Amino acid sequence: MKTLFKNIGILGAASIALISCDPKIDTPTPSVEGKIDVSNYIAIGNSITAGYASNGLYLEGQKVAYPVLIAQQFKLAGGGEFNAPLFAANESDGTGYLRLDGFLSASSPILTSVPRDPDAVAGKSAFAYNASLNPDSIILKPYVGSTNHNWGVPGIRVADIETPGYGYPNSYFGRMLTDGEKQTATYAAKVLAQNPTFFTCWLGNNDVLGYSTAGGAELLAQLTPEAEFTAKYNKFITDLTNLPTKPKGVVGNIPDVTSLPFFTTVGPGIKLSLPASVPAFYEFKFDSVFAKVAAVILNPVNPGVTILDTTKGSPVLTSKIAFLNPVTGSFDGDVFFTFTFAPYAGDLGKPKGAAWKAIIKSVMKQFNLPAALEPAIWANSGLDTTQPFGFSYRNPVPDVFVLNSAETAKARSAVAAFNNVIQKAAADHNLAYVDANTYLKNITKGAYYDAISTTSSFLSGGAFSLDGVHLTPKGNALAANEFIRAINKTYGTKITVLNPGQYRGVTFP
Amino acid sequence: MKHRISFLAVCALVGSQAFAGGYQVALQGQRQIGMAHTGVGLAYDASSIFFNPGGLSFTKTNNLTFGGSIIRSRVRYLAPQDANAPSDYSTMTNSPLGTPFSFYASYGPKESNLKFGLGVYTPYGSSVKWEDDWKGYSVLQSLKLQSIFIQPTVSYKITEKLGIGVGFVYAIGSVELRKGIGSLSGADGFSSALLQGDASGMGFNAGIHFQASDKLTIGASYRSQVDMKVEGGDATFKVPPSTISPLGLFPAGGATKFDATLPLPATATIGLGYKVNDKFTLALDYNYVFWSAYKELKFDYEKPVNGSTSTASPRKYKDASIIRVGAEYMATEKLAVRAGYYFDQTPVQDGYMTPETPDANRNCFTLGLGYKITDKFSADASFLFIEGTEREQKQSDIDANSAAGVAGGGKSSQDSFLAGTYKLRVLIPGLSLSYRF
Repeated sequence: MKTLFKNIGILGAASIALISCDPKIDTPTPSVEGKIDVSNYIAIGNSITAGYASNGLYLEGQKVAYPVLIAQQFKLAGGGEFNAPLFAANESDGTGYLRLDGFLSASSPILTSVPRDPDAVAGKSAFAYNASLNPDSIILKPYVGSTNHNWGVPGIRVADIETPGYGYPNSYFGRMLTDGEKQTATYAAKVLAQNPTFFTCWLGNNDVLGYSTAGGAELLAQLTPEAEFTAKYNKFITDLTNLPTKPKGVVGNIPDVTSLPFFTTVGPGIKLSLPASVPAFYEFKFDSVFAKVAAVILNPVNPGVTILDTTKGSPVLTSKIAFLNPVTGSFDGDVFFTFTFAPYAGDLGKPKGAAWKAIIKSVMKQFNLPAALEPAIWANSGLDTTQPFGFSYRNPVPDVFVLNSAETAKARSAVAAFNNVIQKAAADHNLAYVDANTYLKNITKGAYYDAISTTSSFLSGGAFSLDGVHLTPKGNALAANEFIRAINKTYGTKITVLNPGQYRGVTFP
Repeated sequence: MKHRISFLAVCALVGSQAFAGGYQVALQGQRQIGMAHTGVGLAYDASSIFFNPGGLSFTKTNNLTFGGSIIRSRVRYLAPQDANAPSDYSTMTNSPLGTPFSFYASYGPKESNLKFGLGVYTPYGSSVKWEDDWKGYSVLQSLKLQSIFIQPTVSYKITEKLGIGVGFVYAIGSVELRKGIGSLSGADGFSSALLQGDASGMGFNAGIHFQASDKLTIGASYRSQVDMKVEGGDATFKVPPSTISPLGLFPAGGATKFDATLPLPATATIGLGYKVNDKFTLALDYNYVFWSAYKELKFDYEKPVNGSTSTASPRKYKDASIIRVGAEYMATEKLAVRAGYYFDQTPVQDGYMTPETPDANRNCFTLGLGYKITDKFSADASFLFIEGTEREQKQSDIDANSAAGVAGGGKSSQDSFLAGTYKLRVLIPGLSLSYRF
């Protein structure tokens, strides 16, 4: 009996000893291997870099901006502190943002605007209304932290980086500056003054995006001319890499904007809802109507121009959009409806004028016109909203909501040209290169990360936030991983990647 | 006209769930565990009801045996190390201790060639718990799979050298599976699904025992496949309310019923027992497990979940072999010392490893002690150490398998498998008591 207990005792002791040796697998140690210096990492870029999401810049988004995530991985490999110009805790709603509050039906989400945080605002700007940069002409309170490593500025284009005083029209940049700097500082000079030891640079999207999201309405936003883009981009990258710190870095290219949910969400629904017997072509809009409307608005009493020449009885000023392919009957893949058209898509074919009403209101606001002028504008516009919306040249779809084939081609060729510049700059200066364009196309096809399906679909896709352009936390984690991959590839470093599945997509109510 | 926003492609929200991989639990008798769980060629005691019903008629006494083990299983996971994308993410399961047991009772009139027996044992089961927010949470958070086989048995000694036996198996069990739904986050974080149900099934266990010589015994057994059927299990979804109404992606109340079937595969075994001398016995078993019965794991829902009333996840197990070698040495009149080794081949093909039991080939080492307390009572202790081979699951294999499945008309299975490296280690001490009469 004694022996038995003794033996059981030995067995027990052996068991406990073995329990302490759990299974092990060799785990890599994050390291930059002395090949790059990430002690002073500076992020250069636009809204995506800033952590802008769901139509606003706010604290939650800023905290998961991809540069913040990259810096977090740098830190594991010996990197330094990374301070982003975060809104203070009491300003956490920032400029306001969209929130998904529910669904009217299975097909229409309720997107509620969370108002901007009054604590984040210093006052009204003297600068005119600018829909993309500063919708309400506000001045944001300055960021008061002593150091700033994230120089992501929503709205900034390569075209803007040498503009002195850019901090005035663009308060996102202005809040990073002192009052004195705002007068003269250029974006490029401020970034260079940070003396980065390493940088990420993802600029250029807005040089195409503004034009595209405005449906190619050039009165609102133009594509940056290729020569200007090339000169400014190259000078900037040359100046950066010639700094005394001799920084290494990574540049990202520009995704084809028409891969964004902003352009891919509304169109397919319109296509589905078209009756089977539609003619092959519809008159959907006229190319320069926006300019004409503006002319009317600027001089509503005697505009000197009639938008629609109703006397001729033919759609002189309208242009037809090849909407359905007459041969195959399939949707013309190069016509894109903007996300902003969603509220009016249901009006197509009906005698409705809501879209035009919104446009006229918005333009009146931009030019600061008194409300009393509205009837005169309508009277001079030649619009007849008793005609079926979109199907009549008297009531066409406003230019700003449609990127037609010609405009799409123009945007795509700009993307291709700019991406050539970016790729060449990377090669010339031995920088790592992120092909965001190809990456986004792969996501569009559908991809799995951590066994979770991720696509570029609106709401369900997981990568894009509620504005259909900017990234969710998960989208930021994916972007951070792509930058890290490019850095490791070019510099032979061993910086570890994030687990994208641990970051959320869109939050459903 | 209506504008339709195409978020309804929330495909693969729920994906396919899974039970366990190599979820066989070879712990049906302490004495045998000590000897690498051999026993088909030996006729020791009432545990022959499990190992070889044919051998039961050769057992010398009537017998009651009750034994249990404690399973401490740990799986280590390391994230995939893609080109230019190393990861230092590593985690380990924190599975609760498993407690399989076996109970055998045999009775036969003295001088009779007939013996009756009843076995209650747990040949299949799994208990795996990962951290709730681990990298693979969307594939699996935890799984508890239990089964109890109840087997009334009759064995008949045809001649002095040959015995046969057969038992009817009635199996009862339960399953509880939790997983995250990573593509859907709500105010409280990620969504999750819980599937719980009771299962039952039937089968048989038959064997033949042959006393080739004084020293050599030979046995063969066949345990049939038992299809464990869950009918009317409860599927509960913790999801944002809007996805239930108005989106209708999940059933009202976030709950529905489900049916599922898990095959517990058939096993054919040939075993040899060889008495080298009065003190020393050797045993050798060869198991062939018909794992290829486990083709896919399918759940049928009463109400549509994410637009579909069923989800299926491929498993494509292949048949696998186990080779067992064990020995027993009577150190004294009362004390037996045992040891063994077996090699357990994985049924899981490359790219089909799931976090339930990330299966790999296993090297298993056993030790055992037996002590005759009195003529009627004896106690046996066993210790089993299982070392899984470190096994890497490549994303490229997962993607290729999925593409092949899609080409064959199925859905993507990329949501069912997590790339990375897995390593299993299991420690199983056990104890049993026997009473002879």
